[in-house]
Formats: sequence, C-alpha cells, structure tokens
Amino acid sequence: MGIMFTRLFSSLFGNKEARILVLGLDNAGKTTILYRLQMGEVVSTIPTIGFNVETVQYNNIKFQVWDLGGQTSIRPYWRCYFPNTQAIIYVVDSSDTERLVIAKDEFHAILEEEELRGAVVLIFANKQDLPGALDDAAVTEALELHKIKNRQWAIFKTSAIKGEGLFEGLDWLSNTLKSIGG
Amino acid sequence: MNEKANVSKELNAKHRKILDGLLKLPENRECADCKAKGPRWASVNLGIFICMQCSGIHRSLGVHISKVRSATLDTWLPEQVAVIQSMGNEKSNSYWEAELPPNYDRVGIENFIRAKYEEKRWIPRGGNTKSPSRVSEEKASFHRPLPSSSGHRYTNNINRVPDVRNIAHPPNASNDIAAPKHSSPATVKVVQQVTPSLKIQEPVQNSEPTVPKSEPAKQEAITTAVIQHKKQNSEPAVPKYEPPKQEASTTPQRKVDYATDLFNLLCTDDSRENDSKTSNDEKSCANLQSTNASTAEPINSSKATESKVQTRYRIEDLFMGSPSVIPSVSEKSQKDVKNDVMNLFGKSEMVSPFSIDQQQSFLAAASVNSNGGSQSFPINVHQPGSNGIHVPIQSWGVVGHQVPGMMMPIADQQKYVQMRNSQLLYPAGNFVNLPTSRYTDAAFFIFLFLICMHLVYHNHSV
Repeated sequence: MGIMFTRLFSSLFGNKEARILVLGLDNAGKTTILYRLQMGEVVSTIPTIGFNVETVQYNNIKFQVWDLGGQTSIRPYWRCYFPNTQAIIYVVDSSDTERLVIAKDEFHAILEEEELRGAVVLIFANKQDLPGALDDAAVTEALELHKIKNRQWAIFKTSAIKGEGLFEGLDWLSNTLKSIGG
Repeated sequence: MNEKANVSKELNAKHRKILDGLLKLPENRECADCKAKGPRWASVNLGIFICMQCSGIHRSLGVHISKVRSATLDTWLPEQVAVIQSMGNEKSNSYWEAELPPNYDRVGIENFIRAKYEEKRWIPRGGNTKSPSRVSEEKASFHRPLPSSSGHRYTNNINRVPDVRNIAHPPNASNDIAAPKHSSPATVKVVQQVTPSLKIQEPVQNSEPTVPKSEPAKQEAITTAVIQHKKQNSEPAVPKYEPPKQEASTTPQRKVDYATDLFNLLCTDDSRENDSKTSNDEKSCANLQSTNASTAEPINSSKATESKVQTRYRIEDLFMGSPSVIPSVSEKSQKDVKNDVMNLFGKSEMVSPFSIDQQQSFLAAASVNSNGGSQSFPINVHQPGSNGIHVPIQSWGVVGHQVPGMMMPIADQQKYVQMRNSQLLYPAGNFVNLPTSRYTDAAFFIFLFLICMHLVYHNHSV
C-alpha cells in the first residue's frame, strides 16, 4: 500500500521524466543501444518483435526508453506509442547504405505525425565501427535532415558496440528537454 | 525512390506464397546454421533460412556479411526472393560448409556462425571459388544514388562541433559486398565478375520450386531425424524454454500453418490499416496503450497477497543489483547466462508473475472497464473469433499472439516473456506511462486503491 502512495506521489511531484521512443529500421541497433544505455553493456540481441522498455536515469532526468521492433510489418504499430512522447531517438545503420532511402522515408513519415509534433529528434548514425559506415554528414544528407522545420534535432555518430556517442546524444537530449520543459 | 513502395500488395502476397513454399522444402525446414526446426528468418544476401537465434547473430555480423529479414514480418524485394529461391539452405551450406568436419560440434553457435561466414573457414579450397553469397548480393543489390555530401550543417541549434568532414563513400564494404554499384570502379569490377554466373544460376532457380512439396514418408523421416538432431543440439543453458521448443519440433507442420495463417490475417489487416488509417487502427492503438498501462498496474496494486508482492520486489531489487541479469531474460541466446540466475528466473520470476496475472485478470478487467471502453490488443480486434474474451491479461497469458507483430510460433513464447519482464521489472515505468494526463493518473490510482481497500476489507471480513 505504501508503495502505491510512493508511486502516486512521485508521479505527481517527482523527478523530471521523459518518454522516449527509439525508432528505426530493423537491425539498426535500437535494442543494443537501449541496453547499452541502461546497463552499459553490449548484450547479444535477437530481433525485437514487440518492444522493450527500460528506464534510464541520466542528468536528473528519468528517461523511459521504449525500443520498438523495426520489421516492415510491425512499423505501423509504432504510432500506437506516439502519444505523450517527448523525444524520438531515430537509429540508422550507417553501414546499410542500400536502405538509407527507406530509413529516410520512414523518418519523414514519423515527423509528419501530429502526435509527435512536440517531440525533439535525436538521430544516431549508428554502427560507426563497421567498415563502410557513412559519417554523420553523409547520413544527414541521406536522411535529408535539413528539411526538418520547427523542431529541435541533432545527429551523433555512435557505435553501440563500442559505446561511443550515445551519452553525448543523451546529454543533448537532456539539455534540450530541460530547456523546453522549463 | 522507395523500393518498399514498389512492392505492391499483390506482389507482396506473391512473395509470401513463394517464401511459404520455400520454407516447406525439406532443406529449409531447419535453420541453416544451428539446425533448429522451423526457421522463420532469412539472410537475403546469403539466400538461407535461419532461426531467430541465429538471425540475431547474423545481424551482429553487419550488413556487409548478412542481411537479415523476417520471412513473415518483412516486405521482400523481388530480387531478394529470387536469390533465396535460387539458393536455399542446402546449396548455401554446400559452399559455406564444404570443408566442415562431419561431426563438428556447434555448441558455441555464435562462434560457429562467425567462423562460417566471417572467417569463411569452411569454404571450398581451390577449384571453384565463386562465393554464392557474391551472386546473391549482386542480385539483391539495386541502384541507388549514394548521398554525396559536403560541408553541411549537422544540427540546427546545438552545441556540437562537427569533427569529421571527409565524405565517406563506403570504401571497403561497398567493394566487398557490391552494394552500391556505382560508388567506385572497384565495385563495378565485382559486378562484371558476377554477372555471368548469375545467368548460370537462373535455370536452377526455375527448376527448384517445382520440387514436389510433400512426400509423406520422406518428410517424416526428415522430421524424426531433425528431432534427433535437435536433442543433440539442445542446450541445457535455458531449461525453461525447453518445453515449448520440444513441442514445436514435434508438431512442426501444424504450427507453421497456424503461424502463417495468423500472419496472413495480420498482413491483410495491417495493410488495410496502413492505407486507410481506419478508426479501427486508432482505437486499437488507444486500447493497446491503456492496456499496457492497466496490465502492469494491477500487479502492484491489487489483491495479490502481501507475500507475493514482497517476492516480486525482492526479485526486482535483486535485478537492480545485478544488471547483467536483465538481458539474459530477454535474450535467450546469451550464452554466458549464469545458471543460478536462470534458476532464480525459472523458479520465482517466471512462475509468480504469471500466476498473479491469472489471479488478477478479474481485477484487470474491472479496472479496464472503468477506464472506459472494451480493451483489447490490436490483433484481438482483428481476430474477433480467436477467443472472444477481451481481457488483456488473459489474452496475453493464454493466447500469446496478442501483441502487435508477435507471430513467431516459437519466438513469441520467449518474446512475450521478454516483454513481460520488461514491464514487470519496472512497474514504475508503466506508472508514468499512462496515456492520460497526470490528474487522470491520480484518479485512476485512487480508484485502484479503493478497489484494493475493498478487497482487503472483504478478505478480512470473510
């Protein structure tokens, strides 16, 4: 019973919280990123059918991070998770150059969503450790990020395997959310 | 531009049919790497069908070695279907496992897969050195203008120093994998090498699908053989998953059809939703959300006996203390799972939440109804005849196919464990995640609280 009151209390007056969706094509590295952020370890993953959700405490913000499966036929279900989302982390496999076009289309479709109008966007150009990975400039170009209007966004080069770039991105995210959240 | 859009519904249905047919071929009825029954994933450039576990490992190799797609959840391009039609597990393994010792122990399957495809340890020595994957990659690749970029602003408003400005066309990978043909001269060379062999392969492709699909006696023999194999290969590391696996291997055909049917159902509905964005979709979305919330809450709040709640939190604390446990729940494939930890899962975590859920389905139903409207998962909406009960927890526990996209007969068993654990381990997360406003949250919690009080009082008075 006490637990309930604690929860109730903290949900009303507690720390700043943010609901984050991690989206991207299948095999972009969303799950690996989620667990790298949450536990600081590289876990071996299997394709996510459905979702994973974890809480990541960082910079006084409690990120509730939802990692949704990216297979073609389950992407339409992403929109089920859109309401009340403060930020999107869009993960791109920078080495999968063939599918950058699809990644771009999905990305811009997400930005069109009314329910995500207020969400800030953080792009992870992931898998920088792999041969042939495009850098952030090339991914910026491929995703046509310059077309983003009326929204705060940033792109970071990341390697979930090496743990590079992730927390820099989270730094940006927490600063941005604090600045817009007051 | 978007090649996914080029795959029309009809074409997609056709692809699905072809893939279904291929999956029924004896050679494709077991994973190309670990020999698990009923693979539902594929490497579209290697042209093989693999199980979900191995697909995870293939994904970790990088797309320059293996491009993983789901045979049921992904949209395939015509080229990819053609590749897998012309290749298949047998042909592929005759290349990649040409030098493999007959009784090779595949216990460390990740090492095996890496040795097989990354190191190419067992490909034929001398003679025909043509890699089948080369061919398939070539066929699977397509023209796409590579983004050429130059000095460019990365962000619109942030404090970030762009450190690297050199524009990287993929130097090694593109040569190696023949992905974007136009990116460099070297790639073009690869293409030229490969093209002739493609033509040689075409007739094979045509002849293969005509292989008679059912020869009962033969198939039976294969099935039993596979089961034996399965027993040899079965790993004791994750004992709790064994029962469903065994079940799957004994009744493969039925399960396959069931899953396929289910999936087709999902597909049709799925595409309809996509196109028309019917209110059905909206509704199911909303339902999903509130169901997510309401499934988690009663676990903490309701008539669960005090001891059970305590158990749950002890376990939870334990998990907080040793973070490496968490993925081992979600990732069945992890090999370094400590046995004692797994025992813990097997005994307490795996059992108690389920039983609690079952007990609490009544309460969940109550709270759900109070939340307004009948609640169900999206797939439940599409399958009105499946069980007729729209109590979310029951649907989850009993049917196991109620979560969007959870269509894999074997995988879903573990997957919804994965999802359950995510939710159960962090009940607090779900608390803040109600789709309603905070004030509604509060009201909802108070309502739950009242129910709890009522139940407690009721128990005492009885």
